[in-house]
Amino acid sequence: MGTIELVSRWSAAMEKPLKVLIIEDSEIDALMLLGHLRHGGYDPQYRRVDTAIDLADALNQQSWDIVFSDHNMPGFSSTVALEMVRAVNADIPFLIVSGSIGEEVAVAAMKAGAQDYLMKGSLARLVAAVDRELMDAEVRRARRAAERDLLAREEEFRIAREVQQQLFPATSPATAGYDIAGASCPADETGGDYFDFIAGPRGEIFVVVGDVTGHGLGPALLMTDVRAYLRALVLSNRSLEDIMGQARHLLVEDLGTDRFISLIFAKLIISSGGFSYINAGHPAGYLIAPDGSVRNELSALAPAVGVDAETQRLVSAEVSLGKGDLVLLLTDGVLEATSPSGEEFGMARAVDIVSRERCRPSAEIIGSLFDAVRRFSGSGKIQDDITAVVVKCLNDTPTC
Amino acid sequence: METNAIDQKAISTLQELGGGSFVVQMIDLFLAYAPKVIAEARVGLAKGDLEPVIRMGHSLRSSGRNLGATYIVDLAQSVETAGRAGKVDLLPSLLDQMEQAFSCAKDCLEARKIEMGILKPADGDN
Repeated sequence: MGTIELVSRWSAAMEKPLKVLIIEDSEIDALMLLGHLRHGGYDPQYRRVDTAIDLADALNQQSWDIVFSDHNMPGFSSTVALEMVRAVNADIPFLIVSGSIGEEVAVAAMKAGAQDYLMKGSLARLVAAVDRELMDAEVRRARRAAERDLLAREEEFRIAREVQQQLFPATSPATAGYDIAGASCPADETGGDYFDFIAGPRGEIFVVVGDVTGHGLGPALLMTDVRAYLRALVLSNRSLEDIMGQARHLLVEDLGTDRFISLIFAKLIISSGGFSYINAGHPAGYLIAPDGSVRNELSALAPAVGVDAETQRLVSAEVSLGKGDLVLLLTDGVLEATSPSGEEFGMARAVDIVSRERCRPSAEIIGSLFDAVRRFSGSGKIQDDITAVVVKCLNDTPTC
Repeated sequence: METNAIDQKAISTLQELGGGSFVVQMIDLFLAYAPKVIAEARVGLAKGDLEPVIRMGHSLRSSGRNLGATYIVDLAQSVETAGRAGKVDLLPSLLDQMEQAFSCAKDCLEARKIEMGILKPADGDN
């Protein structure tokens, strides 16, 4: 008896196409099964096989929507067929259609991954079984695809987190008269937060806090660019505007059209307490006086890098840090942390906490701020990276 | 036996599933296939090879059911059972009966085709 047929000869008008693999030694039985499918509104394109060799070939040649298998065939069985099908496709519906299959065999087949079994003399429920199994298979496929995507995303974020963590300075600058600290806490979906302390050629300290838009590996890699450019450019002894302008020029090429970087780039002159800064589209920083009041707001005076390209002039501003003064720089992950009721953490709350904690060491101030953000978020999980830098000009004698 | 050789309900089911052309296709396939496997079983039995005998019993059991050839189905079951059990002495008689049953079924199926207006009497020897 012939073993292979590939036939599609029925009208497909208004019928659902179905690629059917039939493992069956009887052409008549196969035809009967196809009759039921056509009557049920399907337009089957089918291949009939009845040996392991032909089944392997059929599985190699193309994908199938559904497999029907007789149980007993000369030299072949549904048990072996099921193993072969499952080896190449875990999701494809496999239905046993047999003239005689014992209950034990049927149960074993279901345990091995067959979806259903039908008796050849009673195919009335065939179409309903096919409808159901195709739908279930689609659900299984979608779930597997979602699981694969999730794993891929988790892996990307894991790598992004590793990249990001490598960028942060391992230690804070040990500078007499100042207590400088920074910290960043990544969210599950790592964003593009970045901070850095760079020792300048004249003993000054450059402080950077930035945020690349987006999440994952792309922003993390862009941060490596920002870090490298700024670290190299500060050695050039040029002005804050020149360094930032050159960095912006280099970064714009890397950013593409859908990303930008908000950044505060500041320089602290240790001897004078001069704190000059460029705020390019970043949330304002704050200078908090020894009495806890806000003395200055270090607002954005230029758009973020990547917005309006290089048409906007970079303008720096300067404040002077006296003893007991404190500068707070944040990223929007702190400000936009959301409570379960939908309220945002906001700058006022952040400034209030830092103001209250101002007498503690800078690292502890940041720790208190992050704890408050986590508590505010409710679940303990933050939605976005949170990053903060605190620069304190120390008092000779603590006043609080 | 001839009047009961084919269960009309099975033919009606085929008609319902795929119309007259489907009935013809199934009948023609059966009429071409059954004598072939019966002949193979004969040859096998003569050589003492039961495999084609069992295969004939197995396949006619289900394909005969599709066409309502109930007597063929019963005989096919007996052939398959005897073949698997190695009861060779039962098989010659069962094959004789199968040939007779097929002859009756063939007449009956061709008559059905004529009754249904699918096949003209003059074409009956196809």
